[in-house]
Amino acid sequence: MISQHILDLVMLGEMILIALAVGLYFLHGVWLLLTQRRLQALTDVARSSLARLVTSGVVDPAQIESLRKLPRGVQVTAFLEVSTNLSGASKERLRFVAQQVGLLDYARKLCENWLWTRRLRGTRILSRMDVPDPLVLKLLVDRHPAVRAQAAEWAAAQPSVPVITAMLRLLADSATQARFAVQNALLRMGAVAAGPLATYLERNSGRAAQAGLRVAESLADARFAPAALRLSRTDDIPIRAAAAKLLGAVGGAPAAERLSELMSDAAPEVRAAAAQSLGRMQHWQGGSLLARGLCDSTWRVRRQSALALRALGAPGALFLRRALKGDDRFAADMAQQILDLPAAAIG
Amino acid sequence: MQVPVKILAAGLPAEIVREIGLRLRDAVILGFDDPEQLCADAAAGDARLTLLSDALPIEVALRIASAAKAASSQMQVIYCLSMQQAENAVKALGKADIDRFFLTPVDIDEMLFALGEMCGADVLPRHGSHDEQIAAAVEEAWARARGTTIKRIDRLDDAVIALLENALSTEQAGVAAQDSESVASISGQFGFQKSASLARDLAEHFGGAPLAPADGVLLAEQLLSLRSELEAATPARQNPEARRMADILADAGGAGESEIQGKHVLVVDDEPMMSRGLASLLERRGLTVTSLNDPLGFWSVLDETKPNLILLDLEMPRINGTELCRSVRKDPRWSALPVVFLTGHTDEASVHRIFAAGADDYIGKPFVPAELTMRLESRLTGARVRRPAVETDPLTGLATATKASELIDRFLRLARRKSDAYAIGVLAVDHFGTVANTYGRTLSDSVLRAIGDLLPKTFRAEDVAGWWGGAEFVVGMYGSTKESAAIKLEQVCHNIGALHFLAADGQRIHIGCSAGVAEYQVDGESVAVLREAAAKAREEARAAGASARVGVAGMKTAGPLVRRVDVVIVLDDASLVSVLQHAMESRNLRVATYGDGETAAGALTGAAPEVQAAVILLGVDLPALNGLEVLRRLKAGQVTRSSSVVMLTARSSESDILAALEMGAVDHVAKPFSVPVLMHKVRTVLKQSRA
Repeated sequence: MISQHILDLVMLGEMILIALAVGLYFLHGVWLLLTQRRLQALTDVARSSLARLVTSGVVDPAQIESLRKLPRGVQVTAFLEVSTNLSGASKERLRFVAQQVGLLDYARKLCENWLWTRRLRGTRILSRMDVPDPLVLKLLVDRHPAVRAQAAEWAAAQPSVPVITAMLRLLADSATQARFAVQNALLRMGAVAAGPLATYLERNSGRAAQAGLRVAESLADARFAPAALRLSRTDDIPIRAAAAKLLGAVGGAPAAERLSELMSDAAPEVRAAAAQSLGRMQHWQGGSLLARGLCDSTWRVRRQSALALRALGAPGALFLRRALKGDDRFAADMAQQILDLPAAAIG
Repeated sequence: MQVPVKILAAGLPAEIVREIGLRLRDAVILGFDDPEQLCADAAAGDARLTLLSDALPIEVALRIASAAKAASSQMQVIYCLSMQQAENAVKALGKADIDRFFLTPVDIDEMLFALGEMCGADVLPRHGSHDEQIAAAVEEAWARARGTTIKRIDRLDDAVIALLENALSTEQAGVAAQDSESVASISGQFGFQKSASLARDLAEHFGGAPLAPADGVLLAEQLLSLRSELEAATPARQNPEARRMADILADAGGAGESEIQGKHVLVVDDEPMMSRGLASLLERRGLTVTSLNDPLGFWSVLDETKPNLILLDLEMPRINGTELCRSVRKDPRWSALPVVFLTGHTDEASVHRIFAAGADDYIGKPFVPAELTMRLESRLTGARVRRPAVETDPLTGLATATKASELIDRFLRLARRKSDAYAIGVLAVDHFGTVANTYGRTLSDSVLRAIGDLLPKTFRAEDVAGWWGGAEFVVGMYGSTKESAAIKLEQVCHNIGALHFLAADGQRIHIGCSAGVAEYQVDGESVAVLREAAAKAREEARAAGASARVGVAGMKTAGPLVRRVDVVIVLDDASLVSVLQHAMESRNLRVATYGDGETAAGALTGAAPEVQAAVILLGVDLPALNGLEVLRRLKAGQVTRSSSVVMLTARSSESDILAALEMGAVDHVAKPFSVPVLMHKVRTVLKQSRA
């Protein structure tokens, strides 16, 4: 039997522990509040100093010194906040101040850290500040996808052949996050990426080509035409569909001819993509084919054919009107739906 | 029970007889093809009116008139005659006691009212005019023809599709050409000129040289236009937009009957018959008419009657109309008087002669009474607008008090009808008497002239700016509430304050001014009451303090009305605000910042805005109220009229940017942006708003 005395002691101990925990809890709250206030005040100081340094033509060493003395966290917050809104000479000045403050060296050190969260942090600083550092190029093949994605974001602002080549290799990245970041970065690079991407598409197939086709469709450069024609003949249905879309974006007589053939493809996804592309090209000679597409057994193909006819303008409208009076009830329904759409609803 | 009034008629068009029968209450009209029968009926003595016309042989008309008069003392005889035959007919009918003459073509409404008065019968309102009946008949015919026409267009659709597919046969092209011709013909018959032209083009294409498939694209365009034209077409229907516009113009013009009541017209025509007819016609419109048959007495009658308009015959014995008109234009007392010619000569040379003499208008004989009265009324009501020298103050170049009052009054009536807001502002130069006494009349005149120059540039064309005398100006602002008018006047006061004038000793003088505003149906209903309220508000604003330049009627003015800054920044990004604020302030621009949309909208709008800015830099993603919503409020509060809004966008879509520009934003800057570029834009907008 445990004596009452011992029980009282245990209860007393528990009460003391509870009181201590509650006390610590509130003390922690107070500490957080004070820290937050202090950091807020320091951030305001940093913002103000940065605003002066960025907008005036004079470099004030005293202000750089005051920025340097601020905690790293505050420096990072202030510089990254300002950097997202600036471009041109102001951004250049911001980079200069960051270098003077030591922030860029700090970021480089972080990039080489063994912990991926630190590498990510360092890459983010160099990326947001648009620093053309070859160190980040190495991080495009980092073992962690988040770091690779962040490096890809950095690469979008540094369009050069080695960077683009490294990026294209990442198009087949197994991590979705990194793959999307690379596609996004290539799109942001624009026409600079078109040449290397065209070569890449001519040499690759499968998933690597599929991601490249999506980027190429948005860039819509004539150099993609041979690759698009080649890929439109592969057995892979998603690749054929993506190639059909790219043909529509590229245009030209060979593309129109191939798209007309694809209107009879066995896969409905490919037929729908071909119809969409014929509409995008405003290939009025394909009016009859698209009118036949209105009678397709798949809703998606009928829909895309009708939208494409609408995109053809007056000739397409005549085909749609004729479909209204035709025997195919589904074609007539689709034609009516699309004719009823307001002009603003047609993409 | 009241016995119907019996009216006999012969020689009158059937539609006039029908209209009289339909619209004269308790009246029975008997139309006779055989005048002898009318003569016999008139002899019975139970009819009250006999209507005859110059379509009957004159001796027959004479006989009927005499028989009718002999049968009853109450019988009245009316004779309708054309202007060309008026003189001969009147001479020939001199023996018969004709009670009333009507000139053809007859204005049926005028005639009905006259007949109603003569026989004591009421006139019923019009059920549907002849024109409307025709329009209805045409619409009916189009409804019948429409189906066939659309079927033809369907066949044309097939032909164009065949062409696009490169499968159009010669026969099909021939049929298409015929169909197009038919559509063109039908469209032309119903007055659809555009459709007719499109169909004719199609016919030419199908009937011409062999077509290539690429031609199908153009033909398809034309065919679709033709279809949409014909599907939307309705013949003889009034365009509602045009109708609405006509209403507004009529209201703004104020050509109501009340405006011409009592106006004096001097008719100068050597033919008494003609001048009597004209007098009768115009007097029924409420005009006072003096007829003059001897042009030699023109000057004495002109001085005596002081008419508002002269109606002159062109050809008169001894002195012709153009000579009279020329001498009127040379006399400064009468040079502004509207002169309208009535002439049978409408050839180019005569018209040129008329206008060369200084005429305002001419009306060809034979005239349609409705046209004559309408044109004279138009001259009578519009005469002063066309003569600014008479009603414009020469010093300020603004409307005089009388004229401004008249114009504002018209807009007030329009505002009442359309339930629109209307504000009146009174603006006056402070201590004007002291300025005039100290620096002399030359400088005070310069001040008034400068303000007179500034006001029309500042306000819209539909706003009325007038000089009320002394140092006081009045501005009528259509569609403005007193709050938005106060902001506008505040800006005007600011601009006037920025002007400088050189005194005789070379000293640069700045003047101050203050204003008050009042709103229609809130502070009063008439021009005088509203002006009074606005003047009182101005006095109160002045009494409240030097910085309160504009007083708003019905509101207490407490201290400064608004804080005026160059740029207001509405952004939630503290670091960006910091950068922009520093960039602006280091360039000597006054800045106010707001971190959320709701606060900013509250500060910039409302009856007494907290702040007024030349430029507003507005972010899109704002807490509490997003940027587009803030912009919508700024537009509703008419802040966008006085401030230029530049949107700062980051992830905004094209449609968002377009929406912002449509709502009144002058520009947009996408983030990230270059500070020097943004500053350049801000400076440009500031310069424009100051200009």
